[in-house]
Amino acid sequence: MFLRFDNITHHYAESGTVLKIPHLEIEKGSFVALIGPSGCGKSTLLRLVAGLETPGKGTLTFGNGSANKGPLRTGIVFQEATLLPWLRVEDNIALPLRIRGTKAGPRREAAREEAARVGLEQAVHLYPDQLSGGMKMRTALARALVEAPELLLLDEPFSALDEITRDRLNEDLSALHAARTRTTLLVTHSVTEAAFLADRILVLKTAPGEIVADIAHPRPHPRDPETRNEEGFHQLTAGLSRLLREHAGE
Amino acid sequence: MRKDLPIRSLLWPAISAAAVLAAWHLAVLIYSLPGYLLPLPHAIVQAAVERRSDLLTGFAVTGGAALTGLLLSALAGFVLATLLAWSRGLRLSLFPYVLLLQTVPVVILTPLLVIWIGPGFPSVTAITFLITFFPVVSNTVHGMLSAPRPMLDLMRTLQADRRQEMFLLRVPHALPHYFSGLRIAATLAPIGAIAGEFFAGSGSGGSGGLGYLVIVYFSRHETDALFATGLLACLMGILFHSAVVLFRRLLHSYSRLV
Ligand SMILES: Nc1ncnc2c1ncn2[C@@H]1O[C@H](COP(=O)(O)OP(=O)(O)OP(=O)(O)O)[C@@H](O)[C@H]1O
Ligand SMILES: [Mg+2]
Repeated sequence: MFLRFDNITHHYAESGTVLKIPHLEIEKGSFVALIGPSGCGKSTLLRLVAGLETPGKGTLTFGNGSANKGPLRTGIVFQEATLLPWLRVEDNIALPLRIRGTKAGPRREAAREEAARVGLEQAVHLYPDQLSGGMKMRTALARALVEAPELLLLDEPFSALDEITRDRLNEDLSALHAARTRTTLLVTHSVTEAAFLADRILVLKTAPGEIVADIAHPRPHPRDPETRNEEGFHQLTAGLSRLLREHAGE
Repeated sequence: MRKDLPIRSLLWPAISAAAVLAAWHLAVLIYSLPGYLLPLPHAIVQAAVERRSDLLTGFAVTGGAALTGLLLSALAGFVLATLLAWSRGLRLSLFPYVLLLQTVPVVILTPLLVIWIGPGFPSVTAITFLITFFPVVSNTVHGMLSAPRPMLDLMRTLQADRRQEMFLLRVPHALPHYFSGLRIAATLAPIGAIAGEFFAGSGSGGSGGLGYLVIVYFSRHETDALFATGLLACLMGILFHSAVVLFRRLLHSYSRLV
């Protein structure tokens, strides 16, 4: 067990109860996708895990440890890349290390290494406004990975990208997961993305957000782009779409 | 790069300047306005040439005080903004006084300053400082406080402390705002210095600045010389403003900070 939710409910003063999770356990090293209609609390769930919100009720337990306290190292990628526009790609990637107090030399080295891993070795000297959308997300991903986090949180990271770029990034993400397996929570609106990447897919309904389906989808990483054309894949995405339709709001 | 760009960008201002001067000249002739009401453009130039030594000294004196006040604002404004953005308590307790200083009329402040720190350069500089530092402070504070939510969330998930959040995110995010404030301050600096000189300009041995000359020319009804003085004050504001813009461009060519 890596992450456990017990009787979690979360509410915002303006919106009432937005999330209800009586019990959920997430295994170490698993790749979990969260899908659900807009406003069902996916981002809220991620923010709870990231420690950006404190649950109104219930407890969140990490690893062997402490209630309601984040694990030591968490990498996070939001829908927007949130790169600092005044920093070059390598310095953006190195930001977590800079905050941790790593010296400039090793910091740069680690950032370049991470940049190479996400295919940005040619771009390390560029500024964010010189990057394509895909490169921006790669930079954000490299920044989230540079500290070798135990937990990776992705909130619709590729939703602003075109489909080809998105597929490419999905494949690269699967390869990265294969190379260094870490627990990953991915929020997405795309059933193909969820089916391609995840070992386990949680479907949420809205108002309040509750998990209505928990689908295991074990397959080794890195996943072959060809799997997208298999019969089983189509069945899975069709099933997910049906679930989403059934639970899409009122 | 388009080579003809500088010439093109000068063409339209040149045309409009020629049109304004022609209209001015015509108006004076048609309505046969006397020189003490509205002097002819060339009379202003003539007056400026005749009084060049007074005007140049005045420009230097006023310019020195205005520049010193502006530089003080650039430094102190930044430091104060950082403090105000750092702590809500400081903001709530200090900002009212910053606002108070900005809203108290210069004509009341200047005599007090003359009484406290003496006439001439010190009080003219102080007035310039007091007039220019508000736009610097308020723009910079706003820039620091308006760092985007997602970036602040990012700093939090990276477990940045307050100091890191300030200097890795808020300060760089505020630099363009700082420069906007500085540009406004640059145009205010000559105005502040000249207004200050109405009370504090003479004395302390040295020669008077532009503000002092305004009083002299006004008392003699030398309208053409008043115009010349006004034009010099405009020139000073434009120079300061351009200096800030150029400095910012220079910095921008080294980094994306501004
Ligand atoms: N800071 C907040 N204050 C008040 N209500 C909020 C806040 N953040 C989110 N909500 C509400 O909580 C609910 C869930 O929001 P959340 O952002 O978690 O949804 P989501 O599933 O991520 O949606 P989307 O797919 O559109 O990103 C929504 O009804 C939203 O209005
Ligand atoms: Mg969301």
